[in-house]
Amino acid sequence: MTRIIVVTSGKGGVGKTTTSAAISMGLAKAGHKTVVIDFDIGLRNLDIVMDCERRVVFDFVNVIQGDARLNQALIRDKRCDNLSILPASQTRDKEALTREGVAAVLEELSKDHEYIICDSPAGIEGGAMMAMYFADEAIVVTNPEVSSVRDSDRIIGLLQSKSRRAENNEPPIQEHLLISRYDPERVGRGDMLSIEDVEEILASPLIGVIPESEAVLRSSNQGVPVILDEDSHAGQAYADVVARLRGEDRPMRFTELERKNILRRMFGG
Amino acid sequence: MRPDAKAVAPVSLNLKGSMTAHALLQVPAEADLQSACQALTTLLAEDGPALQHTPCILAFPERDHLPDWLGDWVEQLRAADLVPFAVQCGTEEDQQLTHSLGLADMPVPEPSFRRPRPAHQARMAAQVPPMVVRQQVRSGQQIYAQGGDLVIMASVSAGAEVMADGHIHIHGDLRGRALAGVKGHQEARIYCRRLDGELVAIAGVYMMQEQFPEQRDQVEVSLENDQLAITGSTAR
Ligand SMILES: Nc1ncnc2c1ncn2[C@@H]1O[C@H](COP(=O)(O)OP(=O)(O)OP(=O)(O)O)[C@@H](O)[C@H]1O
Ligand SMILES: [Mg+2]
Repeated sequence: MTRIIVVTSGKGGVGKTTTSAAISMGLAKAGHKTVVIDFDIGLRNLDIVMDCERRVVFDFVNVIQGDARLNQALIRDKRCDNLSILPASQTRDKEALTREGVAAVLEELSKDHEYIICDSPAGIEGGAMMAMYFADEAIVVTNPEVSSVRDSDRIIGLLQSKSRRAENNEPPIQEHLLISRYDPERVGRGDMLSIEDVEEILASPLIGVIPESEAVLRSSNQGVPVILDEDSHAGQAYADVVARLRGEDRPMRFTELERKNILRRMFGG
Repeated sequence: MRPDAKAVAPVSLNLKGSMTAHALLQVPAEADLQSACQALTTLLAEDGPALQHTPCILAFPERDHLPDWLGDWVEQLRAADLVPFAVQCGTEEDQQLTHSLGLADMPVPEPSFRRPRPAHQARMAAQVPPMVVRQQVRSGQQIYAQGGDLVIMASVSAGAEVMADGHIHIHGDLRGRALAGVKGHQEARIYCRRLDGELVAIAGVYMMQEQFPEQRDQVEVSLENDQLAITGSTAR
């Protein structure tokens, strides 16, 4: 059975695209046939993070409007055969995604993919609703600050009421909470919400905590999903998330201030 | 560079938002300066030392405009060692008046939640079974139990609103808004595990977060003599 997973958040810039790229690469490297779809019509940055922007000929909207076949638009990742990318279009026409069109594309992709990862745009408008509508599962990306948590709460409510599963009275979308850009030092100073705070407010199962990390920006600039940077904490944290999605039980890491860091700071090393 | 500029070491200022404790000092609509001052004397006689140097926001609920004696009122308060720093007001005129006194203007809490109360008390429709919600009520969601009670087995998020013609029982935390007895039933009550809400109301009488008491665990909200009574404990 194909698992359709939407990566969503409400608030913009919290790490949805970073997460979509990392998770889809991780699943593909673990041997699963995976496709990642950019629902952020008009902005298009998944293809940049995946380093395939120059290979985009046809896109998601072309396929929906019948101007191209699906396999003409799918881009095979150069690093991992199991991974394909369906890029968003540059056209500003967000209305181009129709529910029937999206349903048809997802159905066709389901035939030969185990995982379909949908990178949602920010907000709670048409594009975000379209990205979540057909999902079986949702990764709700939250930064540990009040406005982001509030928006995630809103999105969880919509997942529970405005999805295909909700409308057909099927079992609800399974939510996974992902806290991103977590900085234990700032939590310690009281500038950020703690993991416990976020979990209490959102009352949703936690699938991972991604630390704030310079590796993320470096990787996305180089077009490398951060999960391939196996030395970085963010990369390792994403690898844990992928393992948990595959049913493995792994403890949370990088959630506490490292003693080493403290010593280094104290002695100015 | 000016010659004297190098004598001063440069510093940078930190400007941070903060939520500090303050009092909200409300003057009832029927009061004039004289009766307000009288009430102030009574208040000081009771709580004088505790109130000294307390920062206060001044409020004049249910008036169309700030009273023209606002300036005198502020002077009286300062003379009594209170520290007024802001005034709740809506119109541009009132804001100007506030600014001219060197005070900040603050928005008046939304009046839309003051629902008109029906003239005669509605009876509780006991026949309707309670509406039971098992999931957390999320930001942006609104739930209304028409004709009866509402039971929520989880928390109510900030930005969510729950309403009932009867009572509201929240087994989790209330972080959003809860309005019981919305058709005017004055015996309606609100119960919650913890009151962190934005607003509670019974039969159209409401209270905002800043007026909530310190005791916010295992809370019961009821309407007594046209005022909301909130009882709870501090143990968590
Ligand atoms: N763990 C992290 N540590 C540091 N920076 C991060 C982290 N995750 C994301 N970022 C940075 O935050 C910015 C936004 O990330 P990203 O594009 O993934 O967010 P998004 O939710 O997809 O944004 P949008 O809502 O615009 O689609 C990027 O500059 C990215 O490099
Ligand atoms: Mg994005």
